[in-house]
Amino acid sequence: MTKDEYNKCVQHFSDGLFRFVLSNLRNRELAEDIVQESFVKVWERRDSIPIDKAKSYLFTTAYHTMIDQTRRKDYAASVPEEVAFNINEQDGRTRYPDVQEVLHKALATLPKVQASVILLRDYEGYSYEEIGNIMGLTESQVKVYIFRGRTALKNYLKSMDNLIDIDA
Amino acid sequence: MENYEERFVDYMEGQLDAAEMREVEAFVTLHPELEEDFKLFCSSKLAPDTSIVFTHKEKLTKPKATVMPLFIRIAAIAASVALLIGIGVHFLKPEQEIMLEKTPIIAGLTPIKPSMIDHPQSPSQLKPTSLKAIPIPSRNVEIEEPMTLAQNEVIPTLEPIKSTLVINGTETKLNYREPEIFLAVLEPVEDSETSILSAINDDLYENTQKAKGSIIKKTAKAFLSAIYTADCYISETVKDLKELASR
Repeated sequence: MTKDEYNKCVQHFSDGLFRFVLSNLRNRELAEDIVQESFVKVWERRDSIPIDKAKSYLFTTAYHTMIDQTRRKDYAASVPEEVAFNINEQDGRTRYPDVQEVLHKALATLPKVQASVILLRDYEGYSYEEIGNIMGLTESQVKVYIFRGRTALKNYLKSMDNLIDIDA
Repeated sequence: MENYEERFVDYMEGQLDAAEMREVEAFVTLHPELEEDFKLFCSSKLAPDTSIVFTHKEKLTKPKATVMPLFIRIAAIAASVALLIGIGVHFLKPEQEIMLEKTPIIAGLTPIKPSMIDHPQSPSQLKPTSLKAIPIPSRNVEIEEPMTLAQNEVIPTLEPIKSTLVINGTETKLNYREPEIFLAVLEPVEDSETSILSAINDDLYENTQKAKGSIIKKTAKAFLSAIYTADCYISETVKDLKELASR
């Protein structure tokens, strides 16, 4: 990967990578650090990373860094939620949540591995095989985690009394 | 359909072919109590909030290599050439100064011939030059006609004394004693500028070294010649003074 290709990776993939990590950790500062660290690792190994593998390398690095971080601390318990998808307030006005807000809140209740599988699938459109490569899982394991994650999300949606329009 | 939830997930995940999809849809139609679950599964796809962006991209990107525009490169080459020529001129300048300073001293003893000033190789018209000391024999010479000198070798600095003088209507022959001195002579230098310029095009380093060597050699030669000339001039003057004293 050349320097130009690396810079293009920053332009094209940093936002998606940041959303993936942020949706998992719900901590902006930590998510920024992990994105930065992932790009530093890609830059250091750019000679051995072809451009078509750069994106999955980034997500793989970010995912494992994220897992390491969450093993050190229990972020779900200790770090307050400070990202978007705040359900009831935006721009100082109270409003009803839409399906995506409910879904992202539901995502926070999932085990990290299920949340990551769902995010890679929905945000980035990765195949089961690609998700398996990034997360170090078999394809059938990915399928199982997808099923468990979807079922949990479905149940969360079903339990939400304040969900206004499920078809929205 | 025992595993209908798995089929619902496969359906929303796009893992089924057209026939399998129709099968699932028919199953839901037959089981309206499962329609809500089916719809909720289909709604469980997360969409990224594109308003969330990584705002520190500039910390990650690497600066692009600077590409020097063509005109700057040309300007740089021109500046280098000018610098080399400047250095060449700087090294050659002392030779010209020595030559220009010496000529009037010699001219003090022997007046400058007007033709010398107009000579094609007068100092102002010459390229970078070196000095060459030419011994002039010390003997009494009867000069029959004006001295002629081969071009490109010696600039005549001696005013030829008229071989005959008319005093009171009588022609008188004069014996002329040529001073035993050495004259500084202008001589063109071989292609010093050309060699510097071609050096830039061909083999910059090697030829520049050669050119520098040439410049240094010629400067040293000029310096030694000047010392030799001055020495001869002094010894001649001392000899003249002794002669005067003995009278």
